[in-house]
Amino acid sequence: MMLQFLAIKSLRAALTMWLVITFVFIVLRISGDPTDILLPDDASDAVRDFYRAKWGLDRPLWDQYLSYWSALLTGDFGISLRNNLPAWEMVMDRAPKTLLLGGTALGFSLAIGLPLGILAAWWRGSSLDRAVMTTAVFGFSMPNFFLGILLILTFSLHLRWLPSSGSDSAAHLILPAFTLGTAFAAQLARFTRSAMIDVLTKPYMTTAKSKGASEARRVFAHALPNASVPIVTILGLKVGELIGGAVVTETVFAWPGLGRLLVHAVAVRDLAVVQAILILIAATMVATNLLVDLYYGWADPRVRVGRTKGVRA
Amino acid sequence: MTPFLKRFLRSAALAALIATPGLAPRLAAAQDRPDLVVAVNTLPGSLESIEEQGNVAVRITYTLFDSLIRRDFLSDGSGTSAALVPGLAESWTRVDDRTMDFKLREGVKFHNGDEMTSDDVAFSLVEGRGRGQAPLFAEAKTYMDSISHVIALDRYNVRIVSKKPDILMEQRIAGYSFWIVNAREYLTVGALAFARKPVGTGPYKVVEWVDGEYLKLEAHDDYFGGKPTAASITYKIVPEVSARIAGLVSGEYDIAVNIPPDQVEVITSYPDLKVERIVLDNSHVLRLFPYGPLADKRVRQAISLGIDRDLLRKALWEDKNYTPNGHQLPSYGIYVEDFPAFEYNPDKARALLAEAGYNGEEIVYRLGLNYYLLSLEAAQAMQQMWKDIGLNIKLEPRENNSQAAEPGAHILPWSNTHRFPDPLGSFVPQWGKDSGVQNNKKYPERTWNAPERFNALQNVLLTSMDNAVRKDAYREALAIWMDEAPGTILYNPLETYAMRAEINWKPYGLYYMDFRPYNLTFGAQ
Repeated sequence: MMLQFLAIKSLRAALTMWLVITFVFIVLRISGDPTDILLPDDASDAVRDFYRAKWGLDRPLWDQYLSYWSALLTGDFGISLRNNLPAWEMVMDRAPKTLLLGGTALGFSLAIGLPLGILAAWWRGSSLDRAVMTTAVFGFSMPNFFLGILLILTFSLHLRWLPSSGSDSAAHLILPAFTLGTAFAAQLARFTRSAMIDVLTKPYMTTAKSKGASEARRVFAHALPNASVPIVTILGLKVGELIGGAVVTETVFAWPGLGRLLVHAVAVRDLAVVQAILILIAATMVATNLLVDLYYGWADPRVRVGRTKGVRA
Repeated sequence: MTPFLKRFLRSAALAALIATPGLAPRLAAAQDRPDLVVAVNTLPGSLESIEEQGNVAVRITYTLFDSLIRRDFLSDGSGTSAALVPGLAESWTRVDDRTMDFKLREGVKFHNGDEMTSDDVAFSLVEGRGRGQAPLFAEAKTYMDSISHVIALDRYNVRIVSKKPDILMEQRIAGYSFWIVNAREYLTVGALAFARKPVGTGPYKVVEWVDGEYLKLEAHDDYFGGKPTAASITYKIVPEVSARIAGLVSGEYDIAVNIPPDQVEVITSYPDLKVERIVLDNSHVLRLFPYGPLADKRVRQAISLGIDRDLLRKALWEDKNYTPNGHQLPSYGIYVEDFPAFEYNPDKARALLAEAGYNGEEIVYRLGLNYYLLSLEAAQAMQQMWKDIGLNIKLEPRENNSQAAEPGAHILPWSNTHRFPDPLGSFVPQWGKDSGVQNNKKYPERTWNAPERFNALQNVLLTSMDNAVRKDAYREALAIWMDEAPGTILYNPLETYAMRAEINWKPYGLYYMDFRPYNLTFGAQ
């Protein structure tokens, strides 16, 4: 039964990947000619023709598409038009930096957002609740580029405690990770609060209280597991976003990750690199969604049972 | 950046200044020779000197390589001078109209320790690399294809022969594409590996290149032009202007490139920072496609006459740049000094439009965003100026130049780099009979059918060995170009570099960043 569930999910994942690759392939090629973008603006037509032929852009689209796929199926993601390096190698060079930044930011948001959300829900309506929620509104309404520049001005320019850009040391990680993590911490706090409030009003919480369970037990053993399903869903989405979603933060802090590579590759129509990154992002999204689905089944037996036995929970 | 953010940045920067009286003298503290850190917007994809000739590439490769003859941009202190001085060749002689002999300097060392010889020169200019039927890199072909062949006469003597009489051979050899590479290294590692870690004779050599992060060069102490003045130069990618400025103020960087004119005030408010500005050997141009409403040349003339260039320069460039008189630069060997300036004359423009029977037909001005500095701002201002003379211009911003070039446009922004100080360095390749302007294969309706006389004059410019004759031909060709108006010039843009005050370094009119000992020193002069 689980096998059927997995098979359907995997098939859907494969279809998603195919759609992403095809869509990106076509859109990139009809929305800009790399020879117009990578070569100097006063390059002659002969030079443009030379590079078009060299990069295979003079061939019909379907022909390019077929050869892209035949290479892709052997694990060849193509060569960057800009610096002749293998696209996959370039992507893998940047991935650790993005994971480091994204992982730190995620850890930070979990450490801040989750407890604050729980506390706000538990003391709902209190001044603590209001303080947390007000801060959260600020946190997620502040655009990353603004917060980033604000932090640079304060901590690099004014106080001179932290470096403004680059990724040479642990100190370089602090400002971008804080920038990236703040919005999500705020989002997570709000989300956790509402999920918890939803659960706290359930009859079984009253039952737990009436049978004398301690406060801690009621929160961690009864409420949190039930509230975790929506929280994990949003976490799953975030993990996928982390791979390519730090575009703005990476640019502001000159953090050499995938987001910046993607922006630059899209701007100059470095086709192979854009495709490699998007395939990676899509694969991460698909994989995390799959994991989240599996988590539902584990955390909430009704999902698994409902699917296999056809009974409504 | 939004105006709010700009003001915010400026006031915050000022606040920081007040709060921190003494800035850490990073450079002064360094013992012996300092390590220089340059914040750049981006790095090129390749350091093969003839593969990439865009501004992000040449600002670095100029430091890695030398040419036989060197253009001395600073001979008059301007940064745009065109005087020629010995480079890798200590002397040269014209044998005839097509032939030049070069006597190489002896004992010049490449980064790998090899001595530079005539074999390296012959290899660098060999057919198949940057010129000829099927060159490895096509971009250099425009500048190198006049070469017929190169003969290594002996270890230190080399002969270069052009296909046709070439009055500009010296300037050509001092310019784009004629940098000398180490033949042994090139042939051993291959073109691709060479592009990542090239070996030249320049004052600095590549030690580390982390893609997307930085490129580190180290002093080449055997440099024939003297011991380099910095221990190393690191080019760090910092895409955001505000981050480049912040890093400069906080002492992380020593020089920052591509500073917009409106940020100069922020930088000069710090006592330990300064800016160096240069008007580039590049002209921002509008192409006016002679079809539809622009088929009548009087409409094209009116478009040019309706632009108040003085106002544009004042509003956008703080009046620090200039508009050349015609398609030329003062540094040209055959500069036509008395050629009339571009005129702003709304009355004449209105009269021309009436004469041409222009009746408010829509004219599409398309532009790719984030390519030419301040091009959108200029376009918006011009749209108003044109409206005043009765032109109906529709502005269509697009993501990139490729999208802007799609069918339907009548006006496109463009830029022409004056790659060497002669019409053959820009005017002829960009507007001449073999140019895309006169032969537009993709959009035939955009083709400018130049008068026969114009193309005949171009032949004089190409083949005559008498500069007086060439100057007369150029004057006449420029007049035809102005009258036909297949395009017009707005101004030459300004490039601004910000740096620590104790750095003595001057920028050039081309994008080269010259860090040779004569142009990079530290401390009070």
